[in-house]
Amino acid sequence: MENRPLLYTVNSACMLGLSLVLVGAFYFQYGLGETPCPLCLLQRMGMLGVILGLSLNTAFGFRREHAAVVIGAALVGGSFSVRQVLLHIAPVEGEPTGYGSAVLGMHLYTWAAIVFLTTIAGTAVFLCLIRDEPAGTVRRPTLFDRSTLLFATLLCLSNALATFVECGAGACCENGPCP
Amino acid sequence: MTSRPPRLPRSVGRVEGSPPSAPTCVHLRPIPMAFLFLSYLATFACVIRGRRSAALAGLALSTALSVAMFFHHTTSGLELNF
Repeated sequence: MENRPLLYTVNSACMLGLSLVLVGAFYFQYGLGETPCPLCLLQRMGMLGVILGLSLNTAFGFRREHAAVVIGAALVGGSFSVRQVLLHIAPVEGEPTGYGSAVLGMHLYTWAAIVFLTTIAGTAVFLCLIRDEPAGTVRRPTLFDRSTLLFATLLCLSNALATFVECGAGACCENGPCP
Repeated sequence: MTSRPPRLPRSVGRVEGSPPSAPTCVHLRPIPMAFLFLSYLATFACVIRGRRSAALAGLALSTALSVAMFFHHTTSGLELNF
């Protein structure tokens, strides 16, 4: 193995952190009753894409291609977040500012944009620290690695079920299926 | 006085009575959101089963479908300003 085990632990910790962000989104959906909009769901998919990129390191060892996948997923997800930020950046007189509740003064789509930007910066740091594992390297994930991957998979399944309950088998509009 | 736009068949993905869009726009049929999450779930399954090439292909497909849904969202005749 070319890379220290600590780097793999940090990789899995980043996966766990992103998974907890998605758990927080579920809290807003079911705890506060704020149904996610279509753009919100697309941002959740962006987070899942980043988690998938990190899971490639867990399963197959560190490779530069995996870092490219993470950056690509973060750019896509970040585009969705920035779109929603720009949609609500100009307050309308008489209407509440932004869409949904704010956390520490910023809405969830703004926090999502920060998370995606942080992901790109963190990947740049990782690229300075890792070395490509040789082709054919067999890596045994630790219990922590396997647990975070399983947790992320269950989160993805939960999101699929929750979206099916919200929008049925069709496209989503605000607060439910499109008319 | 403006005339109502002709009703188009459902197969082109338009909602009846919606305002007409730019004449050159081709509306993509919306992809069910739940199906998009299932495509990500299939990619997770490929990672767990140790199939790297399938996982990379699955992630590329899932991301492409998400981007396609994003463009549908931005060009839809529905007022999806959120």
